[in-house]
Amino acid sequence: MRNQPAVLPRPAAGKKGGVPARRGLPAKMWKYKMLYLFLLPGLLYFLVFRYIPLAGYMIAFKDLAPFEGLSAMFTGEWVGFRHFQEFLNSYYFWNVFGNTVILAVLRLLVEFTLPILLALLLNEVRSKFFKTFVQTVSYMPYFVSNVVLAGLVFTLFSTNGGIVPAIVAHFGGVPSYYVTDVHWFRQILLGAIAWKNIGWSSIVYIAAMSGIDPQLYEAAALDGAGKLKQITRITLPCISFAITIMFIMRIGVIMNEGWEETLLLYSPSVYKVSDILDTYVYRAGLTEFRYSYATAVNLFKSVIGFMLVMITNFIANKMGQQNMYS
Amino acid sequence: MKRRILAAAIAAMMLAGSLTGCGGDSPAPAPDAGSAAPGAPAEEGAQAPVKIVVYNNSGSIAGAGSEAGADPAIMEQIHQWMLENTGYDVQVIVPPAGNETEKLNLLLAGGDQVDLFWGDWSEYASKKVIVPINSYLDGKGQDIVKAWPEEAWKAMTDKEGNIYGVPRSTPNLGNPTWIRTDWLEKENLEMPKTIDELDNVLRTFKENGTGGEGTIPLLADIAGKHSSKGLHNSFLGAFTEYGYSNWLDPTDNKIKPAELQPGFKDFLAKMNEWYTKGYMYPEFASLSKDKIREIVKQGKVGSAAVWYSNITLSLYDLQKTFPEANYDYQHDGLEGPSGKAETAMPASTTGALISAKCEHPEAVIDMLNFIYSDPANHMVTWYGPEGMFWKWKDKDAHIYETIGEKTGYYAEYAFAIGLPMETAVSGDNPQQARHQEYLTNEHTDLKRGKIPFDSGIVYDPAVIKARVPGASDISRMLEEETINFIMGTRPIDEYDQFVQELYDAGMQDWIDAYTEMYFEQVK
Repeated sequence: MRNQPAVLPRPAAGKKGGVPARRGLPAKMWKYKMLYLFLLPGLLYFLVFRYIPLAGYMIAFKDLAPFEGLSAMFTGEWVGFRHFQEFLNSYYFWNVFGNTVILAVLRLLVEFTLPILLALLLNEVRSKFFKTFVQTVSYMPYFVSNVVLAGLVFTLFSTNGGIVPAIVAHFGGVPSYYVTDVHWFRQILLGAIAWKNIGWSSIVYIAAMSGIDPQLYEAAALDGAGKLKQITRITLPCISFAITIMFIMRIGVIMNEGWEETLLLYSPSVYKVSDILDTYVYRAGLTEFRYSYATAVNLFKSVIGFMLVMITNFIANKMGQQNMYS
Repeated sequence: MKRRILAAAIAAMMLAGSLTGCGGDSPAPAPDAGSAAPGAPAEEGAQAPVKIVVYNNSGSIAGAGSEAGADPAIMEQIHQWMLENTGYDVQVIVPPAGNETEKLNLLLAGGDQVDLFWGDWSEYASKKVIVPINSYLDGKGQDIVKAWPEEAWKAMTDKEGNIYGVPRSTPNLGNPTWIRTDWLEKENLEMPKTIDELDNVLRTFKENGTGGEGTIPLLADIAGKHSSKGLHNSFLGAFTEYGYSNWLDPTDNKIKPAELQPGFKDFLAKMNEWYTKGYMYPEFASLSKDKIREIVKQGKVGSAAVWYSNITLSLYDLQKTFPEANYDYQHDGLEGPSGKAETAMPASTTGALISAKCEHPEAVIDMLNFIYSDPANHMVTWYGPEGMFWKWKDKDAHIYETIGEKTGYYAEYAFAIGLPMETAVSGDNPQQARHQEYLTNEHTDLKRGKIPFDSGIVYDPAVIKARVPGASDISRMLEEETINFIMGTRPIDEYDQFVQELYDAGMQDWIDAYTEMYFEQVK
C-alpha cells in the first residue's frame, strides 16, 4: 500500500473571515507589526545620520568652497583623486598616519585589556559591598565630559599649583609641563582615557561572567585548579564570545574613537606624537576651510577602518569565533 | 477606535507644533510708533524690524566673570536701547572662548544667519563669503569712514578698490615687555634697556624668588590676541634686522618668512636658555588669554611678553590683592644686538566683515554708524547702560566716571571696538585706568619698535592655496619646531636641518608666491 501524502486543509482562497489574506513578507510584517514599529526609530537613525550623509563624500572628489551651499555639492567641478594625492604627498602624511595607528593600537591595548582585567579581578571579590563600591567608583568617570576631563588633566599637571609637578618636586625631581612634552603626552592621554572608560567598559564582561555555571569552578577546585587556572581555563573561555564581539566592535571604531580627548589635550608642541587623522581633518576643515580636502582625508580614514573590520571579522570567522553576521 | 484617532490627531498636532517651533524665530516686537529710527517700520505693526545677527569675535568681550556670560536682563536692556534708537533688532552670538573661528566657520557653512563678524577679509573674500561695503559706507557709514585713518582703510581694500570691512586696528605696538616695577625696586634694579639687562633681571627674580614661592620671572605666550606672538613680537627684533616680519633677502631679492632671517637662530637659543634656566613659564605654548590674566592676578609674574591688555586689564584686580604691585616697560624700547626688540603689528587685514548672505548690509552699516556717530553710543555698547556702571562727568568733553564695579556685562554689543572709539572717551575708571592710558598715549608710539618690512602688503590666500600646496605643512612646521627649539626637545644645532625640512615641505613655492605678490603691490 502506497503511502498517501497527507493533505493539509488549504485556507479559503482570497478571503479569511472577510479580510483579504496577506502573503509573503508583507504578511509577516503585518503579523509582527509591533516589532517592526520598534525597529523603525533605529532604522530611521541609521538612514538619516549614517546613510544619507554618505552623499556628502562626493565633495572629496570636487573642489568645493565651504560656503557655497548644498547645491554646490552637486554642481561643483569634479577633480578626481586630487585631494587624496595631495594628502598622500603631504610632508606630514606618514607622521599623521603613523600617530593614528600607534594611538589606535595603544588605545586598543589599554581600553580592551584593562576592562577585562578589572572584570576578572571584580569577579574574584567575595565582599558584595566592596565589589559594588569599586564598580560604582570605576563607572563614575565615564559620565565626566571630555572637556571636564581635559580641564582635570591640565589642572593636575599645571606647573602653577598642579599636584603632579608638586609630587615630582617633593621627591627631588625637576618638574616640567608634561602635557606639552612629547615624551609624556601619549602616556597622559592614555591614562586619562583609561581612567574615564575602564569601569564602564568592564560591565559587559562582568555580565558575561555572571552567567558562568559555578559548578565549573567547584569541579575545577576539586581537581586542584588554583585561581589562575580557573581564570584561564574557565572564565576566559566562557566569556570568549563577548571578548571576540567586543574586539570586532572596537576595531570598527578604532579609527574614530578618542579624537576628542586628543583634540582637547594636544598643542603644537606635541603634534609630532599626537596629530592624528581626525585632528588633521579638524584643522584642515574648520580652521583652514579646506572642506573637500578634509573630506578626502576622512574618507581615506573610513576606508581603512572598514578594511580593518572586515579583516578582523574574517579572522574571527575562520577561528570559529563569534562574528558580525552570525 | 475614536480614542486612537484622537490620540493620533493630538500627536500629529504636537509634531506640527514642534516642527514649526524649531528654528522659527518669533518676530521681534515692533519699535514704538512714531520712531524716527532708520530701521523702524513705516507704519506701526506693518512689519517686524530688520533683524541683524552679530557674531562678536572682535575681542571686545572681556572682564572677570565674562566666561560665565552676561546678565540676560542687561543684555535685553541694551537690545531694547538699540531697537529704540536704530530700529534694528540686533542679536549677539557670543563665541566660545578658544574656538571662535571654528564656531564661526560652522555657522557660516551651516547657513545660519550671521550678518556681521570679525575676520581676515583676504581669507573670506577669496571664498566669496563677504561683500564689499563701499556703497553702504558712502550711503550710511560716514561716521565710520571718518573714524579710521587712511592706512587702516587701505589694509581693508583690495587692488580693485573694494573695501571689504570696517578696520579693527591701526599699526600699533602691543607687546612691550612688562616688568613689575615694585620688584625692580625691591631688588634695587633699574628698568632694563637691553636684552642683557633683562637677562639679569630675570635671573635675579628667579634666584631670589622675588615674588615668593612659585615666582614666574617671565610669562610669555606664542599664540596671543590678534594673531600676536608674545615671544616673537616682544624679542625677535633684538636679534634680527626686521623683527617678526617677512623680509626681502638681498642675496636673491626674494621675500622670506621671519624664521629664515639671519639671527633667528640666536633668538631661539636665547629663548631656550630662558626656558631651561626656569625663567620662562613652562606652559607658554598652550596659554590662553584667560589663563594669562588669572596667573597675572596671582601676583607671581615678574615680567610678561604678552598682548598688552592682558596686563593693563588685570592690573586693577592684581592691586586689590597686592596694592604695591605695578607694571611698566622700557618706554624707549628694549634693545638687543640688532636694535629694537619689539615688532609692531601692521595695519591689519582683520576687520568687521559683512556676510554675503546678509539680506540687509545697508542696515548693518547703518547700525554700526550709529555707534560710531556718538561716543555716548559707544559707551553704552562698551560699558553698559548709562547710569548702571558709568555716568558722564563732563558729557561735552566725553569724560565719564564709573559707578561701582562692572559685572554682568562684558561689552557684548561693543561693535565699534578699536582705537578711534576707545580713545574718543576718557574717564575716571580705576578698573581700566592703565588700559586707557596705554591706548591713548602708548599704543601707537611706533618709535619704540620695528615696523614689519612688508607692512601694507596683502597676500591673497587663493594664490597661496593654488601655488603652495604645502602651505599648511609649512605653517605647522614653523609653529611646532619653534616651540620644540625653545623647549629644548629639539637641539638648536639642528636649526639648519630644520631649514632644509622647510624647503622639503615646499618653502621654495612659498617664497616664489609671496615674492611675486609683494612685487606686484610695490610696483
